[in-house]
Amino acid sequence: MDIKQVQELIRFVAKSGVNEVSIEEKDFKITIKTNQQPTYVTAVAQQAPVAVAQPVPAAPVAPVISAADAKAIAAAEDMANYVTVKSPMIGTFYRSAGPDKTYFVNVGDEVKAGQVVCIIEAMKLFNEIESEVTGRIVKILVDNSSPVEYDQPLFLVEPA
Amino acid sequence: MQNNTISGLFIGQNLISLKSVDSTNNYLKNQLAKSKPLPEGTVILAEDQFAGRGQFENKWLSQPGKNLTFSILLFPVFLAPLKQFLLNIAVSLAINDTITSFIGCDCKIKWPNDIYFKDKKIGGVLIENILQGSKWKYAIVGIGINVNQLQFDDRIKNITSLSAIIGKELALDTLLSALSSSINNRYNQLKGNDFENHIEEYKKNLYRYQSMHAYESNGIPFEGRITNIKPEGQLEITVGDEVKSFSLKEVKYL
Repeated sequence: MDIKQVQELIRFVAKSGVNEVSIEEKDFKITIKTNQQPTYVTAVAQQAPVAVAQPVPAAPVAPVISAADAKAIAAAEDMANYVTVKSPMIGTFYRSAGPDKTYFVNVGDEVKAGQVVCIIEAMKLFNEIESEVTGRIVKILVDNSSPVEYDQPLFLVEPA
Repeated sequence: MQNNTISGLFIGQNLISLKSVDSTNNYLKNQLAKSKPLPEGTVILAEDQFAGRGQFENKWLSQPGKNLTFSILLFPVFLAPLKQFLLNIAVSLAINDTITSFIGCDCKIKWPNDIYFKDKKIGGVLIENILQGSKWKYAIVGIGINVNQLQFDDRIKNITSLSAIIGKELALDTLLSALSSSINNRYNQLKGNDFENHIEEYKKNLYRYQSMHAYESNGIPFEGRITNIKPEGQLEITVGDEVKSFSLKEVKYL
């Protein structure tokens, strides 16, 4: 299951009115809980106190998001509504075409599919990354000229 | 240029010659941004490139009409963006082979993408890619070779030209077509998954390969031997018994 399918599943579960869905495949397991009428679930007894104290709309479990901490839960919440632009490689993240140039995009900006949002430099190869969707930049997750890992989330875009 | 479709040569079939432009890479990018359909292998050649980039905003100081400054448009959609260093290897090798045949003696590739003769730079490659999300759309391969220029800015050290090495002028168009077909062949090998020897050849032609030299990392000088290049492009230097791996900004040649 890829991240897109997970996002779709979260959206589907949120709309469906059920409060928990578990799917288990060969080497993959996901549990999605909604905060509609929180129920006590013995299967996740360890996490139950947390879940009761802070009901969250979605908490995928390992291995997709192994760190089941608050950060991951928050990320999952964002992903349900937003499209994440990720780094296609290891490199350095640049928000502009040069030190004296204006940023390609800022938070709140409308972007069109095909519009350049950043440059990732890897071993002197410069990669202009275009947005795949039309929408609005909600969050910029990396500082200008910092190192990024493969698949690291860079932007959250709210699709139009 | 004649039609070479049968031999699989397509680089330079569509040649756009400009008198003067800020940079041939920018020109290509602007054309693509205007959704102008350009065939793969299109070459933009400029007599005068007044704002060419050595690396991120380092200006390339070139006398108009003396040197080769051009960009090639490629569609390497068959390669994952993660493997893009392989394109850099293929292009650097092709340039190194061609220049070696023109000057009759070895030049070297200085990691990652400069061409050196002894301790002096004669040219370089700057690849700019356009990706939609995680899919590779275009590669714009910018190439600059010092050909017939004999005087250089005093502020730039360690620089030379082909004509300074061999003592006579070279015809730019002859060199351009030799470079185009050589890059075309290496690119076809990459496309045909027939590039196993590329990394080995790149290493063999690497400036300072396997000999002791001084480097600096995090402000600390050390001596070591370049012993490997990873497919993703990292430089491996053996220091004593230890192999250290470096990204571009983590190591300085002393």
